[in-house]
Amino acid sequence: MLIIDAVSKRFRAGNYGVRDVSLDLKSGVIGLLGPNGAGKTTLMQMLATVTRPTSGHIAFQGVDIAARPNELRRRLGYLPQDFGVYDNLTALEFLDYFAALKGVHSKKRVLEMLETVNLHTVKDRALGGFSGGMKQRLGIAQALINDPALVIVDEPTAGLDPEERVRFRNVLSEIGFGKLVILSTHIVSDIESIATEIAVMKEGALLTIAAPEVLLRGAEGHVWESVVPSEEFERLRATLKISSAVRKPDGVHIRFVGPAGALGANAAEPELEDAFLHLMNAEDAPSVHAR
Amino acid sequence: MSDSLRRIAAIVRADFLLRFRRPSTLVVFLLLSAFAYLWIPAPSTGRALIQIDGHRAIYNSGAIGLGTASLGMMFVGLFGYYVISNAIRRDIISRCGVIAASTPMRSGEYLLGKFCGNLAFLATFLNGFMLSSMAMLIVRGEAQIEPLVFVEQYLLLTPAAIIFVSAVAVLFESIPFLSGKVGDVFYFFFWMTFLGLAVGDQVSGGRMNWARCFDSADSVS
Repeated sequence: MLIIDAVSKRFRAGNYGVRDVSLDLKSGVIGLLGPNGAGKTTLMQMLATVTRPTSGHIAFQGVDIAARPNELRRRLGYLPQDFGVYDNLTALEFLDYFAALKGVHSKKRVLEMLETVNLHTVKDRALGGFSGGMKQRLGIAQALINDPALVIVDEPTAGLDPEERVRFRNVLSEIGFGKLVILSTHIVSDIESIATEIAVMKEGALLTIAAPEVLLRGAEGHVWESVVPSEEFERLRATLKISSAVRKPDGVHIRFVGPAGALGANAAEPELEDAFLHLMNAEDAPSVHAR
Repeated sequence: MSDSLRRIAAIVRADFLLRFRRPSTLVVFLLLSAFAYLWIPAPSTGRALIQIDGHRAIYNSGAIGLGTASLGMMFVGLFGYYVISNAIRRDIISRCGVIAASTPMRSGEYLLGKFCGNLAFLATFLNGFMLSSMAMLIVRGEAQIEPLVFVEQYLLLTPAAIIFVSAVAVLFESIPFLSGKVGDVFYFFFWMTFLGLAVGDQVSGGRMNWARCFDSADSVS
């Protein structure tokens, strides 16, 4: 469906935002995971035809999107990072506006989308009074208004409270059927339950793309659990890649990625957060492009 | 209606609604109306809107229409720019522009939509100002109101300013160097220069040699 072939984006300063990324994506929810500055947004902008690659090609259903961007734009839903709204418009007016820009003329469709994201009861309220979660849900509604085949959402849960994040995740998981949804984030929990494949980026390069199970298997034997005294925990924090820590009466229960060392740690079953940490910190990051 | 026209109409509508729902629009309108009140002084003050050879022009539709349309034209020419020159910037800041860029809309449609949005706003604004000026005529109460005479004065004086400012605002916003504060300052001096030239031409009774203004060697006589 979407082929990314050796795509790079070089900025005027000479540095690369994205370097030599290749992917072949079918339908499903693809989680694009990486720390801030990994090049996720730059890659998303190129996929959304907002910027062009400096080298390489992107083809959607066989059509080069740099040469014929409108072929993709008609079937694209895009929610950029830090998406804002026009505060003085109502939800209905806002969605109507983007529907017109995308060539959707059905008022019924606009109302349906507001219902899908559960904003139909506040459709006549000015957007200035909306919470961050409501704005993001409106953002996903505008992305889906033209029934796109490709949906690109960039860091959609940034700034949302935990409850809103869960609600937004549910909306995304419901729309994934039959479409290609690319969701970029640096928060593992955003994608662990909904992604069919996870692409991990670091410093502009693609480290790997694999199903979550494959990533988890890759971290087996590298994840450990131990209980350490509070004072030792402060010291260990600086040296170990700790994925979680919980203070309990008997000490701090830590979970870390790397060699067990002399802590008397027990092997633990990897979770996606551990697998991500393992990938980020492995000197010899696996170059598996496993599918 | 074609997709293209629908897109342009949607931009015009959204920009129009956004601007008219801003409290600052109402404030500017009220300030302008208050200025019109001062611009057309009561006869008892001894001041006049139009005076010819010591005779005060009576406050009829022609005189008040001419006076307020001139004021509106000057207002639109200067302040109008600052009121409307944020249409594209707003899209950039809100990142709604990034979404718009990922739709099938062409750049020309977007810019035409913004231009027409500027036109619609300024025209409606001046229309409201014209109505408040008509109210002024009733307040001063020297002659019967003739709406068509008013409209005629406004149609003669204001469309050129509206079109010019709307186009310049879109042009400046489209040039990275001129979008923002630099453009705002540049426009002020640009407008002042042209106002100075126009007034200079009036004062000299049309004998001003325009080429001289641009000749640093002052060799043109």
